[in-house]
Amino acid sequence: MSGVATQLFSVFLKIAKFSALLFVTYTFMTAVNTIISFIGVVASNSIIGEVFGIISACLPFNALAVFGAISNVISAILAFLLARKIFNLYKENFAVIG
Amino acid sequence: MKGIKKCFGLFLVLATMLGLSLSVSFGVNALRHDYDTLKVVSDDYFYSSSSAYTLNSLYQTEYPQSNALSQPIPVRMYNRLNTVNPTLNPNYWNYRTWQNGECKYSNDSYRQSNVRSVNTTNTVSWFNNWDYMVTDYGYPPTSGTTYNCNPVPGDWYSWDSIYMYGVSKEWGVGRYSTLDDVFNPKDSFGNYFTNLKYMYSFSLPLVYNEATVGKLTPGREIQFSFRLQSAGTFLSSDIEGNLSQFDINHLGVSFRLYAIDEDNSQYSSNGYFSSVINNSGVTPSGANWFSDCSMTKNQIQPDQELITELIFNCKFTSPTTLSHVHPNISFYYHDPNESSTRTRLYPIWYNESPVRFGASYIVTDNDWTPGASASIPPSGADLESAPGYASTIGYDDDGESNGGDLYNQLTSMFSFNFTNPFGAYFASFRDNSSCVNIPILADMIHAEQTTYCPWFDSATRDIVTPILSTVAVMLCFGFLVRWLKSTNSDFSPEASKGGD
Repeated sequence: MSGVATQLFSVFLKIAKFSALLFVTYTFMTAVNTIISFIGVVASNSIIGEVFGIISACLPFNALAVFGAISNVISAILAFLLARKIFNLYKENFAVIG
Repeated sequence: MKGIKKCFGLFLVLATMLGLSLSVSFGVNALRHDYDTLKVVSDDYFYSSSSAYTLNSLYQTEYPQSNALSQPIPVRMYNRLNTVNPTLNPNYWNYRTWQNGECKYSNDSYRQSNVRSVNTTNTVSWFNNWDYMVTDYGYPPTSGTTYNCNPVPGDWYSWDSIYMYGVSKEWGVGRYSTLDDVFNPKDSFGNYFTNLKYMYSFSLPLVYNEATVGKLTPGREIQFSFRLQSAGTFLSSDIEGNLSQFDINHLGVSFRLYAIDEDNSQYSSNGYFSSVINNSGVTPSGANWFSDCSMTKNQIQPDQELITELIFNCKFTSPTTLSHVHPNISFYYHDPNESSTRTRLYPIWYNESPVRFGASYIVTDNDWTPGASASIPPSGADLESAPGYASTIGYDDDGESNGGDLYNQLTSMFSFNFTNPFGAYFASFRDNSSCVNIPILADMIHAEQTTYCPWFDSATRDIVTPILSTVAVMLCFGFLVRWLKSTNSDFSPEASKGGD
């Protein structure tokens, strides 16, 4: 019976660990998104953004939308890497749960 | 094999990230009573014929009055009827309802106890701002289709303030019945909204009998006023007394009021008659049903082009040539570069500054239908000092401090907006053919046109853009996967010669 309890507790720990990873990831993804959006605000509400807009208007695709998608992905990747790093540090320092 | 395991693990992490992000964002939106919540609530109410819920009960549950003034309230919940009866608590919603065959002012407790009395034959209805009839089941008249609870002089019809946020405006307007509506919201005419360009529209919630509910009978006149108020970011304007000069981006804006003649089905074809209000007053165009419109602007300083509030006072007279007109007020962004033969109308306020919109109108003597048994407040009541005025149209009594709080909420760099984290990618599937605003460049080169439109047609751009976006996203994630599963030897010359 104690074996089952230990197993359950182990599963619970793994879930908690994974949840922590996801939470930290989401937090950093939001933060990185916000920082990148600041750059976008500066670029889009100025003459730089207007020049980019004209360039985009001359292309057969919406370059602003494409770069928006790319920046979106970059922010997600950065957030993931950051979260992974933090989790590794967390795991090394608090190895008792891992 | 090890690489496959790693890839699978990475896939699990990424998929869970996506799921968690979406669920968190939607969950937070629900908690914040944002547009998404309103969408569910109001759709449940507006389009169900036998629902036990009503607008009042839902609104009371979701939006207690104590919060109504302190937090942004989105659209749709505007159909309160307040009166200038001083005995009523302005902090509650006061309706004139049916009690024992007489039209009396109801208080909140009466409404709460009566809202579930569903009777589909005895209803009070009005039109919402998408021209769908809204029926309130809480107030069954006892004498059929008599006119007893009609507006009487001194009645206030009011709407709550409308706050619009540019980043999530696409969720704020429109009716969502299909997935297409979600991605491409339409206005009440079926026209697609383009991204970040919106129309504000509302109807005067006139309550008559069931046959002509929401419509104004011929020859009647109502006075109404409405305000556009900037919250947070001020409207930067360049008003020169000319219609085409009023816009935050130096583009033409017209405030278009239109009325719909539903009996003649002039609804979606050429079904609006308009009077365009410019900055100096009214500019008649078409049937001049709106008259005596004046606009007052409040500025921070008279010599600065920063406008905090626009106040309109108008009269609307229903023409005698048509029966039952449905007054509707819309705000359009009008692009003067478009052909005048088929004027393309853009909604205004497409910038990302939150714009607060309050509207109200007061029933005048000419609008009164004899037979109402409600007490008539004294005429000539001061609108500004009328009880419930502040709560009615959403203006704060203590605007100095509350406005500061609101400003802080809206402009703080730590007020995260929980939206779809992959919204930038999904945006590539939306409007890719809109013209680019170039106010600064146009000003520099003294160009008349302040927009620059794409060279290629919308079909081409709408196809190529999502393809390129998807390819770019796949490439980025591909490099990420390659990097994560790699060892040092993968990037060495030897690694390129052989496999794993």
